[in-house]
Amino acid sequence: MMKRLLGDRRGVSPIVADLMLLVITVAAFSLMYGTSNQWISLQRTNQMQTITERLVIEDAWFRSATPKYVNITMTNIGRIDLEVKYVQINGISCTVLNSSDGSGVFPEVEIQETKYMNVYLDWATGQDYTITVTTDRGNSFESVFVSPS
Amino acid sequence: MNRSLCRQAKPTSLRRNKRGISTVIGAVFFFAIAMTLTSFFYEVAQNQILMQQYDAQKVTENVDARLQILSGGGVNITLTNRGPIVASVSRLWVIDKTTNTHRAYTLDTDVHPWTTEVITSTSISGWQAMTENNEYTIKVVTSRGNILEPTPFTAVTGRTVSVTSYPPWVSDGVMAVSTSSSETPVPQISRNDKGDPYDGGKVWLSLKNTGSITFFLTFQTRIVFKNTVTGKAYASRLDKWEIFTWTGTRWDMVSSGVISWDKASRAVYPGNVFVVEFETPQEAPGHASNIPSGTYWVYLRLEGFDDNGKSYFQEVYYGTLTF
Repeated sequence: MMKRLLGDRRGVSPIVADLMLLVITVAAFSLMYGTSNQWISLQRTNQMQTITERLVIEDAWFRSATPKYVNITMTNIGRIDLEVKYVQINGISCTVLNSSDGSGVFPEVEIQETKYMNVYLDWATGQDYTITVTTDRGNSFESVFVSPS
Repeated sequence: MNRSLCRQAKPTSLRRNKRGISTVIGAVFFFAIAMTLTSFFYEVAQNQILMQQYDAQKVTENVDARLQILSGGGVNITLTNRGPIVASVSRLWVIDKTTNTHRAYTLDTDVHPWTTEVITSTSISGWQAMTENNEYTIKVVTSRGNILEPTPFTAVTGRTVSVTSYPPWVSDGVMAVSTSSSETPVPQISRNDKGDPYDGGKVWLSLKNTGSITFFLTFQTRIVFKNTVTGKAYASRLDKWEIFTWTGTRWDMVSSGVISWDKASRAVYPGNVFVVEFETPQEAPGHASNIPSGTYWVYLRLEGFDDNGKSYFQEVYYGTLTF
């Protein structure tokens, strides 16, 4: 009886070692899989959201008030809500005066929604102005408007 | 003997089995990772395809709008869908260039393929009357983000303004009517139907190939006399075309011709400006057998299509003339 028990104990350590290796492997792979899955899903979400953004700049109204500014009206024609991050006119970043969302903030535009923003610009008469609106996902939408002569 | 054999065989088979498990687990993990990666690319690709279809629909949308200015600063908007998909018109912009005032009106009008919808300003909420003789630009915006915009026009009661979705190679900014400043305004288009030059200046309609490829243009021109009393319209053919190219310092005419048939065709190279000159209508009211004398609204019209079948036209109100 005693001999049999001793004989059994001799086989325990390889089994424990195997089990430990198995546990470590499973844990390592689980961690790796979890992390990669999370990263991939984040990338997928970001990329898919970026792809589905569409914005149209409908109108730019060059206002002669002091200081001069431009009233930009835009509509979200994409499949996802978007947030305007900054506006450039002829390559120069503009400060927002006010927008549909309040004073000094760029607007968030929901699907099929139309919003405006007023940005400072010391515009000259009869000039072409390229207005570029960039969203927080990095998409840029551009239109050219001519100031009144 | 048999018992000891059994005892020895048990751990061996267990160990063999365990060795296989890690391989299987590894394979399962790699399979899971591969599936995740594949689904990532698949979903992104699916989404890209969906958005490409969405963008293609936007390009396919082809709505023309025609405005007729009514007395009291009102307007009738006739929308014609020449494309294969339903177009939804979401907004109308009326821009008074004289006073620098922009007004937007929300619309919700679906125009089905090859049908026409008419919107009257009285049905537009908050409509502000247009001021007679002020210069205007209008924009018609669809829900897919297409914006139709004609050349600026002066608000005159009875005038018709066309808004056409031009092919991508046409710069609508170049489309314009110019009258020769060295000549006096035109009191009448033509004195007779015998080809004699009329008393005033010439009128041109022009378009420019702003694309990178040559297009072959088939076109025809019309002068339309619309009787101010009866509303009956008469059309007559006009006569001359010219193509100009920019040399870097000036526009040189590279070819020209007379429109002797109902339609003419000509290749327009990148950068070329295509001009149609309106000078001598073949028939004029009061002189042609079937066009009676009277007071007429006069419109000049250029219409045609390119080698891809993309059609366009431009119509410009010229003035009210008495023959």
